[in-house]
Amino acid sequence: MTSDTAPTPRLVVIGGDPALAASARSLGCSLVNLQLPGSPVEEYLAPDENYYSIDWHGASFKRFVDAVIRPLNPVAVVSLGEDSLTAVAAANDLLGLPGLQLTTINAFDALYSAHDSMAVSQDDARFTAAMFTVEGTHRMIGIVEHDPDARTPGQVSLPVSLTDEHVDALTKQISTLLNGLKLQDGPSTTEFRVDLNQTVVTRVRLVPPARDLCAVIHAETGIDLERWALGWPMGLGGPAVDEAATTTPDANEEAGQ
Amino acid sequence: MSRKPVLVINAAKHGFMFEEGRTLLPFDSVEPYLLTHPYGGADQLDPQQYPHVAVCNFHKNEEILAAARWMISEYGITAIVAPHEKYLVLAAQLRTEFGLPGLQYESAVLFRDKIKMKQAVQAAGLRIPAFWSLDRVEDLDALDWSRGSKIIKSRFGVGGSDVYHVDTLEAAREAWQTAGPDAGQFEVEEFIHGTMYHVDAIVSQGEVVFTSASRYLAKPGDFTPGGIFGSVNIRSGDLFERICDFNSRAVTALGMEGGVTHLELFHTPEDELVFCEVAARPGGAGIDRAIDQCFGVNIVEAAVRLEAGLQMPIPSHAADRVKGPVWGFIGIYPDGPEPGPAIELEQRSSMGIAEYLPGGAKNAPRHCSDFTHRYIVGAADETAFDERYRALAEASGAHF
Repeated sequence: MTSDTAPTPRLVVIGGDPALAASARSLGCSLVNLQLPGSPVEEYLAPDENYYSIDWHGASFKRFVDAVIRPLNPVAVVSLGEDSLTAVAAANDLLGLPGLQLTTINAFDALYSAHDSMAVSQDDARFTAAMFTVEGTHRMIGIVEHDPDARTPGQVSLPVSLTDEHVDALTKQISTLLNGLKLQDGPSTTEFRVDLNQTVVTRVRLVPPARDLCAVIHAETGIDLERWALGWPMGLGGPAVDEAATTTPDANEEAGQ
Repeated sequence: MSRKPVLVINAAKHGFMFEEGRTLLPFDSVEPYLLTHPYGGADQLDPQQYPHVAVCNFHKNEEILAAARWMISEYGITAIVAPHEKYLVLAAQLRTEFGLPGLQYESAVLFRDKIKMKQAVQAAGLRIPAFWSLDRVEDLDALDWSRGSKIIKSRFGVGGSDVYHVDTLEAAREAWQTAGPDAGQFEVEEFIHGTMYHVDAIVSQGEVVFTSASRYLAKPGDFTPGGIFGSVNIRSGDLFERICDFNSRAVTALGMEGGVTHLELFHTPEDELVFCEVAARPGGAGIDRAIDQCFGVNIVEAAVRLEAGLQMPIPSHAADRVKGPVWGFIGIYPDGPEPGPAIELEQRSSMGIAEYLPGGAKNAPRHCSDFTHRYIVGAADETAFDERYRALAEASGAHF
């Protein structure tokens, strides 16, 4: 007799903390946790799940993916940490999975090396824009203004002191940037400041904003960006393509210009 | 000093690798790489001690093998520690595949397959029960059922589970049906009357360097709800010497070079010793604690150290302990969803109880060491121990 129950999809999560693992688990996935050697173990474990200590920066990471991860037949490899995005893309490339691809990572690296000015201190940033891309269509999810009087780092407040015109212009500007990065799917975070009505992008990352900023956006918009970021490669937890398209009707017209 | 990278395949809880907080693997000479499961395999794991960990499904050998092969290749593993019997062959397969020292695949199969095991022991000139392979239910028809009862058991079973004592062909067929889908991996043995003993030994460089022999107080396969089980060690006399010799010849015949063995045998009313089975692991159920109390030798630590390629020094006082009290374990089986309480703390000393080991079993026992309560008990001699066994049964409401 065969079971009608489909097997629980396996999601490889590189890095992250136990709270992130719990969030990924809530998508209905069985996790394969990858953590750096010497990291805690017990906090990540749930029944029927896997865990491996592995240095994903090391030269042998691809061999590890091929030998250990491939037989597990994961549906996606994800991470919300900047230091593991190259590993995510390499794993996706090797396993033929959707999600962040090496072409995006390569374009991202090329952009950064060509624009040293972007690598300015994060302290310069006054605003953080969180966007989400689906099939090349970029959607502005929320903009958070950093509170200059904040007592704790990362304390933020909404609404932002930007006009609607600012937001529209910024959305187009960042979308153009993301098109240049060949970002097809997933989260991005852009930090910028506004000087004399001029928007200056200081940093772009292919991950959601920090957790406290995500919490603010979640509270204001009802969108759980961490959950979207984890689930989108599997078709879980992200916006529909047409939904994303309607939010930025003009942004993609500039793509490739 | 550089440390030896050692792969630990642990199917038990992580605490198995420690004795009252003391690590059984010396971290100053061993760099451990742990491969375990998500059901307590990393409980309270200290990542400083175990920085390299793989956790996977231990019901899927292919997952274990993939992770093990990766770790062996990547980290230059020099030895494999795999204390659980179910993973004995898997670990040996990896040792043979990668040219690592320790129990090799061919020997490991002899320690797991009860038919090949008996053939090897018989070849060493030791008495074994008559046995027959049981691959199909029709195999039962060919046996002579007028010549006494027989035992049907799994060729690869552990802990006295999947054992059926049958008198007739009809009962044998019923046992076959009960065994279900695993019935193709069974064997039939002549039933041997007599007292059962277990022998726990440490083998180093092919020589038995430490032996503990104990008399079972019930047969391991006779576990029942609300029952009692245990063993007490014997330390001298002609029977003891014969049992030790029997054990040495058997474990040598199976090719054990270094490790810990747990052998079971019968002493018949005709004063004959008959082989039952042997495992390449420490005895369970609390036997290790009883041996530690008696001889000051930790056989679990010995197994771990020897598999890691380290020496296991036998303390010089171990030989002197034979003049002291006898020791053994006594276990109480569960008899329902809410088993009775343990013996009260203040009563334990007068009953000779040195250690209490909660078993946690509920409802009905699933194997011979599936206890609700376990006690490590000492007594002046075997007779006094048997008295304490009866007293403990009475105090626990357990039946013989």
